[in-house]
Amino acid sequence: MTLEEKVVAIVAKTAEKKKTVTLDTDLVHDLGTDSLAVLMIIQALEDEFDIAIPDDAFKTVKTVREIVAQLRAHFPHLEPTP
Amino acid sequence: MTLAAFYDRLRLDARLAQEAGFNPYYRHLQSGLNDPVRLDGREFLNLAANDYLGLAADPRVGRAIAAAVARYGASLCGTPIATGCVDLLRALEQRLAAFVGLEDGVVLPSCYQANNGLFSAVAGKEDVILIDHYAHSSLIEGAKAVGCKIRPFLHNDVEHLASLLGKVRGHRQAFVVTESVFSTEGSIAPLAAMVEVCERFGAVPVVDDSHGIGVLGANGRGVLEHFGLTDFPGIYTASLGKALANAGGLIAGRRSLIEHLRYFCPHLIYSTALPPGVAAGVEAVLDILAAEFPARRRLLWEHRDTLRRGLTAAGFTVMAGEAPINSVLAGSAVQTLRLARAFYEAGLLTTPFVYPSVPLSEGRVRLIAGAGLTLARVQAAVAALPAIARAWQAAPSSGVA
Repeated sequence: MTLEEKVVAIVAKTAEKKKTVTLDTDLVHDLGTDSLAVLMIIQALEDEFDIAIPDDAFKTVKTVREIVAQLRAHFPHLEPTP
Repeated sequence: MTLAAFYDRLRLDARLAQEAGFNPYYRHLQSGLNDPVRLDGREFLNLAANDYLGLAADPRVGRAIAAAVARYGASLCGTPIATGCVDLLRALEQRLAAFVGLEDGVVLPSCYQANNGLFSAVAGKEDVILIDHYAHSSLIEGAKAVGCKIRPFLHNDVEHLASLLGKVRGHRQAFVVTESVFSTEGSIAPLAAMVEVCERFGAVPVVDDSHGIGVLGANGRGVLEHFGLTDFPGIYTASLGKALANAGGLIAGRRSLIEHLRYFCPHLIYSTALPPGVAAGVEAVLDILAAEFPARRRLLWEHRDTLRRGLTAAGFTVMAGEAPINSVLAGSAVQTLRLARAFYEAGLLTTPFVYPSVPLSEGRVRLIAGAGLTLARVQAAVAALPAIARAWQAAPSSGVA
């Protein structure tokens, strides 16, 4: 499973209603994500990858793709180098 | 940094109300809750108040309040830890605790204060608070004030809660926080299952029963009676300003918890105590409930069902709640206020909820038809629903089916 696929699955699992989630899913407009839901996503990612995400890391993210980008920026070890 | 910049920052954005042509907030009633209520010089059927049992304007409650004011005056002008606590208030605390089936209780001036002050008094940074995603602002803000780790769980999802509790490591104590009835939709938390999960993990359950006390259970004793929880091991809070038709907030539980709160809950210690008249008002409501709850409950549910059938027949999407609440899905914030306006123009007072009180694009309008209303009045409201739906439909891109 790629990092993208894992993040898509985590975001889908923490959404209140079963919705199709893709990399281009907009957290607020497509999923109605509020501040507690963002916290839920962050903590699910921390559980999954055994990492501690800095408080401000996700402040500006809008889409699932941007979550992946932030994870890559802060935790390059999450993906083995090819 | 200027003073002008400060006040500019506080200026409200009025675009939503302008676009909807209606601001439903901070309207000033010119009457009490006797039907019809008066607002803006007109008469309305009130489907907005949380007066589930129709007791807020009951003359027996009014007489009890007047008698207490005659004896004690308007206020004791003191905090409960000093000389603000009259015998009447202490008797009420004990009676309320027994009413919901717990050892002891303490009453604060509001349930917002109760929920807001509770967590800082019983939890610390070394604890973790798991909280339902849709919990009330008072619970969320109260939990945040502790400064400990907060883990939201999916709304009413016991499986998700259990999986998160299974991952809690290195914390002194876990608390699991929920409401009994989620009042913007009318869903009821699966509290019995949640308590079972809490017991499995050694967590303390905390439930806010504001919309359950006086409503749920065979005798109106609330969510614990509803689920048959005779030995609730956690912390219970409830508003006295909804079915109990007065004001104030109860925290109840084991005696050691209540004794602790009396000395370590600043929201209690430093607030002027609940006025004696209000305590007498709640006592009067409890007396009435003892005799009249079954009849009032029957009316409340009949009204809920009558209204629900009418709303559905008129094409509205009513949320599938299990409480005596009807919530109509309206969509965007503008659509929600427009729907509240359509109700208002037809003489029906309702409560609109928009983001962040509810999820974005899931704005809704709540209708509660209390037991104080007659069936004829509720039927008259039902008769007006098709025209209300049409008026709303006439507004751009409404969500009527």
